Amino acid sequence: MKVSVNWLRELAPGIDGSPEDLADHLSMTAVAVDEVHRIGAGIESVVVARVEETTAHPDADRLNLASITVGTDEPIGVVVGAPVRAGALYPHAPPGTTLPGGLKIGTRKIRGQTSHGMLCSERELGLGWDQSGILELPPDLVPGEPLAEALGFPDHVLELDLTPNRADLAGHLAVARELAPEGEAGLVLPSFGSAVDAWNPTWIDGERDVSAAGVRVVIEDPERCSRFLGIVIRGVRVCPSPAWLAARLWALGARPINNVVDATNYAMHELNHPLHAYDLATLRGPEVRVRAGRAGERLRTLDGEEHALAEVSSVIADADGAIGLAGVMGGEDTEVSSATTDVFLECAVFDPLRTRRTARQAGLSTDASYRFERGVDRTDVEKAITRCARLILATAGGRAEEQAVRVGPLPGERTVLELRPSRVRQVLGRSFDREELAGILAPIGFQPANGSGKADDPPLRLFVPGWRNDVTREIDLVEEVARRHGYNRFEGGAFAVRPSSVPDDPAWERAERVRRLFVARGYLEARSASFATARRAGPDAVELRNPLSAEEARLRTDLMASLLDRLEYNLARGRRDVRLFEIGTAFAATGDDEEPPALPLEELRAAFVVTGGREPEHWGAEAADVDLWDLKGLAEELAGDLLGAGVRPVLPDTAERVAEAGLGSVARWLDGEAFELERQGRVVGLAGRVKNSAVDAPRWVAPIWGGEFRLAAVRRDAEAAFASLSPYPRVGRDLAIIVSEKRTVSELEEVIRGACPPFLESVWLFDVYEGEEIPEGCRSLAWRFRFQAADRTLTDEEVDAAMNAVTFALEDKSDARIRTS
Amino acid sequence: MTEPIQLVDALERIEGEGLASIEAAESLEALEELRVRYLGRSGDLAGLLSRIGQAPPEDRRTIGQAANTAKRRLQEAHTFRQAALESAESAGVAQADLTMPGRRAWEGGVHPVTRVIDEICEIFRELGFSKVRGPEAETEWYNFQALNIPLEHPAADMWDTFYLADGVVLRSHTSPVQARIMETHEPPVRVVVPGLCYRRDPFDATHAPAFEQIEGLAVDEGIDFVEFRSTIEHFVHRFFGRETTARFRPAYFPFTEPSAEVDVSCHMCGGSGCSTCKGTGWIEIMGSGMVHPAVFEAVGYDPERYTGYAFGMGSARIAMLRYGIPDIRLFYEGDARFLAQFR
Repeated sequence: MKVSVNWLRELAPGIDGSPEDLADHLSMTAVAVDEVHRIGAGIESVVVARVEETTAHPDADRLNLASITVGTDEPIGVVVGAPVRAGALYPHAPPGTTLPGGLKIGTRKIRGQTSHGMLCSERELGLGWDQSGILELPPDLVPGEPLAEALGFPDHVLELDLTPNRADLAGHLAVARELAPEGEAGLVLPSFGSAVDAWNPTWIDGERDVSAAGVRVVIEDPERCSRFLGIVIRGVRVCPSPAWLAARLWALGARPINNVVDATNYAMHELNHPLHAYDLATLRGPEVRVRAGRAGERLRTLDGEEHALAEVSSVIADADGAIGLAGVMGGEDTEVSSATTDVFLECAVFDPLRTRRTARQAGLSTDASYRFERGVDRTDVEKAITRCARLILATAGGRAEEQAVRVGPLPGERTVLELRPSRVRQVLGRSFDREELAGILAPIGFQPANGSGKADDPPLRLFVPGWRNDVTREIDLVEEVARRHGYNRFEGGAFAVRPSSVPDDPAWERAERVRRLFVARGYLEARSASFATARRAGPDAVELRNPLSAEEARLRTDLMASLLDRLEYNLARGRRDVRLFEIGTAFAATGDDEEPPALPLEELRAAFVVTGGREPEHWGAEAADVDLWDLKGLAEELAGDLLGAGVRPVLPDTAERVAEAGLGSVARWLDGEAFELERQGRVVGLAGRVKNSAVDAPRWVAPIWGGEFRLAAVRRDAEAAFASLSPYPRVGRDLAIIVSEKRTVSELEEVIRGACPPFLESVWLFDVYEGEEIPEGCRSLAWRFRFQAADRTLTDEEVDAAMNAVTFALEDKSDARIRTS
Repeated sequence: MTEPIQLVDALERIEGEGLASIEAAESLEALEELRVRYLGRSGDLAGLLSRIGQAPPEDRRTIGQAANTAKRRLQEAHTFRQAALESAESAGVAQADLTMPGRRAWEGGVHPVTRVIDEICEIFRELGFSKVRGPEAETEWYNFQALNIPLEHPAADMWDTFYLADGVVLRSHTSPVQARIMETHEPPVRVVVPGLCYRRDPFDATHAPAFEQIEGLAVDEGIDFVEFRSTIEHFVHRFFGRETTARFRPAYFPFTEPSAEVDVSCHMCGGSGCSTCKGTGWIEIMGSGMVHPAVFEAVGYDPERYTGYAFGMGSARIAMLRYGIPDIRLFYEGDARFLAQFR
């Protein structure tokens, strides 16, 4: 929202300080100021020129020659690229001028004709964006006057970042109130001339239906409109606005249209009430009603757009049909034009929610809808419409009908709120006495109301001004006190350490354990938005109602969906070695149509993806890529300490169980090279090789491996346990067997462990051999054993007995044969 | 009877000479010559032992023991000298080009946003805040109404929200966790809540449709605006450094009142104005304020008894400030060249 500093100073002459100071003051006490623009800078040498005559350029179809004067009789020739009218005023940039856009003006020959400087468009002067034509100036300017000075420039415009609660600051008077040292008491409304300033209407009141001054106004639906005021002005002369009025609008980036429409905009920017002027002659009836839109009804609004109306829309209608979108925009058919002589002026209070729906339905957001959606002051509609009518009388002449329409209930008693000094102290941590509080609040309109409070801690009783409909309870007043006092003056306290009844969520500790492990193994942490494409998300994915794009239309059902995207990103950049992990949320639809709808299932997971070299390439070793056994090793590591789980190959008979474990799309894992991480019968994770077809990968890509597991399955630090260290010697033995290939290592190890006494410390496979000397269909497997007892030194006999038991069991149960030498 | 004596003498002489010359050997080649001479198959010691048969049987045992002792000592001396010469050689005359690169392992890295989240949470942990979380898919109630945000109101437009179903959204801020925590816990409550939030902003240099936030909430008896300010100031000093100052500006959030936007002095220019702070000297880092009584009422706390403050900041945005990262998309692309900068 833009406000003009010149205008603020006119409304509150006590305002002091540079525009930057004012911006800073507003930012620190009321509302953020995003930017300060200077208006009318760089056009100091531009003067008002009158076109005396124009002729066509002899050698160019689109150019004209204009003879202009700038206050003397001496004609100046300029070449113009857009039509101008003899007798009208235009801005002339003489040779030597540099315009705000950087354009240097000189005396130039254009197709053989000399142009002494140029006539400028709105945009060339930095007054707006219109560059379609040359800016016709208000007729009350005098040729030869410096333009900027005549318009009261330079001016500065503050760009306010209005918050939804302070929509009142969309009006200059409210901003001036915030800035004036005396507040309310320092405000003056500029005079439009003593004759019109004295004019006041006589209100003809009614709840729903009032006729006066020859116009009937009906509020069919009071929910849509609580107040509707109308004034009739006859015999106006519609023409361009005077320079001072045009300058106000230019400064705000608005385009002057004519004196009647500009008056409504001026009043809106001053008092924050949107107003609308109708050409009375076009109103059938003449009658104006506020009602719901009707299906099939159509309306062309002022911007030339045609809208199909709906019941949700609030419309203004005359006796025949819709003529405006209530609180949003007027209709084309009834707008004020140069042919208008009689005007019906409207100032109403439209309901915020209904206005919002009307604007949304029409796809419009206007100065008016912005204000009505946030709520306007119900108590001063009379003031706004009267002031606008006076301005029309001052600039367009005519005669206002004395009787004016006023429909809807009058504003009732003003709202009174109580403010306890003790509450201020409790919330703000600083004591303010009653006088201080009153002194802070009265200048911004919170005047003391009568009434007595309780004996100890009597509250202040304060009227809430009509424009502050955001202030509804005591805490709102506390905020007013804090901001007007200055947030940064609440100093001196020490930061406090206090207890909390809330325990840590264990997910964070689990995430940290996982993160430490992967970082130590050379993985880089990735983070992703949780969206996934249909291809990656799988059939159970939750869909967004209003996605930004088809690529972001679903929520991922597994983290691999994101990591494979990240992998592709790196592969596409020629990177062969990629090692990434991510900790995040996967989503799944609940699958049923509950009422009220249930939240989707959410699960924190960790996942990794790895491809390329096992180690960074080194001159001293043959390069090798990450392979199945690297992947399995990592899976075992994750399963061990982290998850307390087992690693099992996914086999045809377990595949279905794994697919139903809800760990996302299993289709991307290559059959025969996948593992499940299983704990107590539950699949807590998956790891394996990713099918090349699941990834958009270049030909040179190495095998892609990955895995994903549930974060909730990760054991917490506190679950680690100490086992005492044996002080007795450890005894080692090796055992090699020849056994059928059909015997898996895991079943053989089960046999081995079953046969061993408790003092087996560890056993691991250290050699596998197939080939010469080994019978067809068999292989040689060799294990290394470590024995150690906690309570004694083991004897050779004990260990030999253990190894004999192992040997016997293997021979007996697995048809293994001991391999010697 | 002189023979054994002579043999023993000869042994002692060979041992003495041998030890002296082995210890003095100056090269591995010289040492090898000495080994052959003293310990070789046809060396001095072997030659002497071949004569042991000439000695009387009763002396052979003594001589044999002496010979073994001499042999052991010479072998030990040889081993010792050999090791010394080998290490001297390798130290003096490089066999390999030591400028060649060593054998490395892949290096992992913690995401820059994670680093910032951890650091922020740690600072608040010291002040007694615990670290909790909440669902990313939320009900409209928790995302809006429980936080005093009416639907169909311009205030709700502050968050352009993704919908999953009627009444179900992707949370547009971490603030819903405030209500969830207060509903299930009695004061005193002190929590920080890191987590992803979602808004309908397409990816560009400063926006992401999903981004990390950290929410903070403190509720107790006797917490006031002064304590809130000094706690946030403490955080700013800890995180950005002592020389950084904080300022508080009026703001509007439906769930806090008074509401404040917190700015810190620009670390790039020190407050004089630069492109990082858009010439203002200040950088906005969080929205905050005293918890609105309506929020306490919605969760069943007595707003007359309890007060508190809440704050929310964009962890990704703060990571951009901290590391000078110009484009938020870098966080979410997963480019290994980017991630590898944060070891």
